[in-house]
Amino acid sequence: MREPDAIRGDAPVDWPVGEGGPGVERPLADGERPRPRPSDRRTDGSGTGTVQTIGFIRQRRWTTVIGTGLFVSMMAVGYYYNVTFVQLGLLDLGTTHLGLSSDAVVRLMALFAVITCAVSLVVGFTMTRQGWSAHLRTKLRVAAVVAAVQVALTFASSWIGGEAGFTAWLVAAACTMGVGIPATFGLAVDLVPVRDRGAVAGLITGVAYFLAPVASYPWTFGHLRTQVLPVMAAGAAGAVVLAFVPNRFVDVLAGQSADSGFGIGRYTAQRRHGGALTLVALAALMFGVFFIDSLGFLRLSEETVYMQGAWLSGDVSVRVFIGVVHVVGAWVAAVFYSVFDYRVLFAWAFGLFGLVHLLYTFPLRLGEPAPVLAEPMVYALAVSVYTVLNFALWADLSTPRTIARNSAVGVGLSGWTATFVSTALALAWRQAEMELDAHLRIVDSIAVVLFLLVIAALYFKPALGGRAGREVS
Amino acid sequence: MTPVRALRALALLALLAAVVPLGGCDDGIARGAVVFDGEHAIVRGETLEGDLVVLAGRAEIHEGALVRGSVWVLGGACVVSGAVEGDVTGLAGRLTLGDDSRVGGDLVLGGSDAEVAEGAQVEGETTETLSQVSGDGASTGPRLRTGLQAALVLGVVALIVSVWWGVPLARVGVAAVRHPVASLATGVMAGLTGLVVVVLVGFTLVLLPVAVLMGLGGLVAVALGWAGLAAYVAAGVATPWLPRPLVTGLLAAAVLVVVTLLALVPLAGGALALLAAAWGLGAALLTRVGSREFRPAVIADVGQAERGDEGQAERGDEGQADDAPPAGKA
Repeated sequence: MREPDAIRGDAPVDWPVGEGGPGVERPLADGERPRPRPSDRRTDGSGTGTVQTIGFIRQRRWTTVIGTGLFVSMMAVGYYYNVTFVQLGLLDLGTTHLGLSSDAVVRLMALFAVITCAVSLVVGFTMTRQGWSAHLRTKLRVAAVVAAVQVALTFASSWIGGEAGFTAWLVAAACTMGVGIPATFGLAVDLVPVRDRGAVAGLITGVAYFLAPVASYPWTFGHLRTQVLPVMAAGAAGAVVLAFVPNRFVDVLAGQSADSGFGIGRYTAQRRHGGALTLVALAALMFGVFFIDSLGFLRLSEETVYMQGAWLSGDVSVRVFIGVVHVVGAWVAAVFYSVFDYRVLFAWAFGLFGLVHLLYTFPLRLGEPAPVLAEPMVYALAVSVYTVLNFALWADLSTPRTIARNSAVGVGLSGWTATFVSTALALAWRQAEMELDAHLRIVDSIAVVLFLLVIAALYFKPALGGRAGREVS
Repeated sequence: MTPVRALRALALLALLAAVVPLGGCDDGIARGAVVFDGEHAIVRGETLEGDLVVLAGRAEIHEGALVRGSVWVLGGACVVSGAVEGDVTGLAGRLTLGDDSRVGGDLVLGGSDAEVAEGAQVEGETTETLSQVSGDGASTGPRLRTGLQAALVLGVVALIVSVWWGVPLARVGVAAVRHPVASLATGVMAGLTGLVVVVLVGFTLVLLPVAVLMGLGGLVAVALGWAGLAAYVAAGVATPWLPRPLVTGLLAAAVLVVVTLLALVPLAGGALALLAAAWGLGAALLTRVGSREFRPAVIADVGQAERGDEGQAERGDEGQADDAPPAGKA
């Protein structure tokens, strides 16, 4: 007797296959389970050896494991420094300690952004042209010097006495950051297995963004400086020793990028023409994400009612909640990055930003601002999703030769240009006395339009995945 | 691109674009009030034009006050001592109808912790759609009874689905078992954002039925995920004497019983039950409610090139992909 739930099967394939597929109908006998397919064992942590670093731990490949850990700690500390001391501490330094107007400080931060962008592009392209991009020790040395200079600058920041000194300090800091972007992001092709890029990006994002809301409170220059300085000093000292003292550890790590499992990014596996266009398109999309985030948050951060109930809440449980949501968002994004095409993460980021700005504007139409935890929750999810993407994507579009240039374009150009443009626009709108509701609605509209674009791209070209990518060369 | 595909794309874009004007209205979409924080009261002599929706916080309709619409309690607490011209619906949270309260329409108790005084007047019908569940978690009996009833329903539905829609159910089960982390992550993300979207849609008042439908859709997706899981296990244990649909139904019911018992465990029980729900939801979504098989991306291993199995692995998966364009066209 034929089983009522007979399954369509495809001769060499497994159960079940789409009904429109080329398979032959075949009932699955009782007691028979579908056979696993290659993707089942190598994707999302459900099978054996799925996060490859865990396999390396089992194999006691400690150099590789420590190398990955080194990358995670460097990037997490660097990112924490950026989102707390640079973005929040310097604002407090300018307004509270130096007595500058909020607009003046924001203008200086825009200058900081544009210098960072320019320097990162120059350095990134130079590193690629000179071949330094493929040399681990060179990148490590540059990163170590950058870290040491940043420690010195952070230490010296408490002696800044006026606007001229503040401007000079910002220019110097922007230069170090611009140099640091291609060097540090470039380490991914040497230290992080391609298959673990999503997981590693999620770990970096989770650590940095859990600590940011929980530990950075209050957002004062002195507190943030005291907090980051010892950690950065220790990290910089370690990086200098590692980079400049000859050692076998770095020599072993330097050879890893020769393995395609490290050096050939997920979207560069199949070499095709048109890669530069892909890089530009993705940088433009990432610009959109950074722009929406920055433009919205610049305005929200001026609203005490929103900030005091969330990121600046005196209630530690609220800040821990936001930190935990960041961790959950980073974990989800890491899994999504591993199992889906990067466009799915773009879609989620734009969709979440659209949703959260709609959430913020909704109570404004019903009356007055009414902060609820759902707003920072969705905001935290959106930020975590695109941060994971930003940490993983550029390496996956690159080879060791192109990673410095692609990181400069992806992170430097899209991220810091977006910061510059959004800051200028926010200032213009402030001078035009645009209301909160109108400001947020425009941001919301941009997010929704980009969300629709990505959804359309996903619909018409549904499968990129890890199968068919293009080298950006 | 086929015409059908183009039409589907246009319909999708039209649906999504419809959200834009929703975010751009200058005035409220409907009249009424939504309570999501703090304490609010409509005092004697006051009239609220439109519906009152309580999502969180506390709302009181004092004696002598009037609501010229319906009252929806989706969370928080609502105390009605005055008059409501429309229906009063309690879906969650706590609803109290005082002695002097008057309801012009129906009273629907669908899961809220309700207290109806003897003197309360309800001109329409009083309906209890679900067993009342105490909000303080003290009454495990009713919760267990509700869980068992739901398990019975799920078991029967899973049996029927297994008979008539075995393939979609199998796809969901494969996704749940072989890709639990992807299923869980998808479910967590969809659950968190879906909940916010449902509440947001509920805010509009006119779309409240849509919000309810969306919530029900989410529950159905969770149930489908669990039924799929049962179907996967059933495929391994069924015999000619114990047909697979029957085993699927029994196991699906067992899954819900286990989740119900899990939810009764203090502290972590509720969170674990939510994770189980997210797992089922994610498996259902990854397979687009069972309409297609979930195939994650394939990423090269370290050392794979040296072993010479890279191309094999790539071809092995790509050759089977029903939704992947030929290499180079993507």
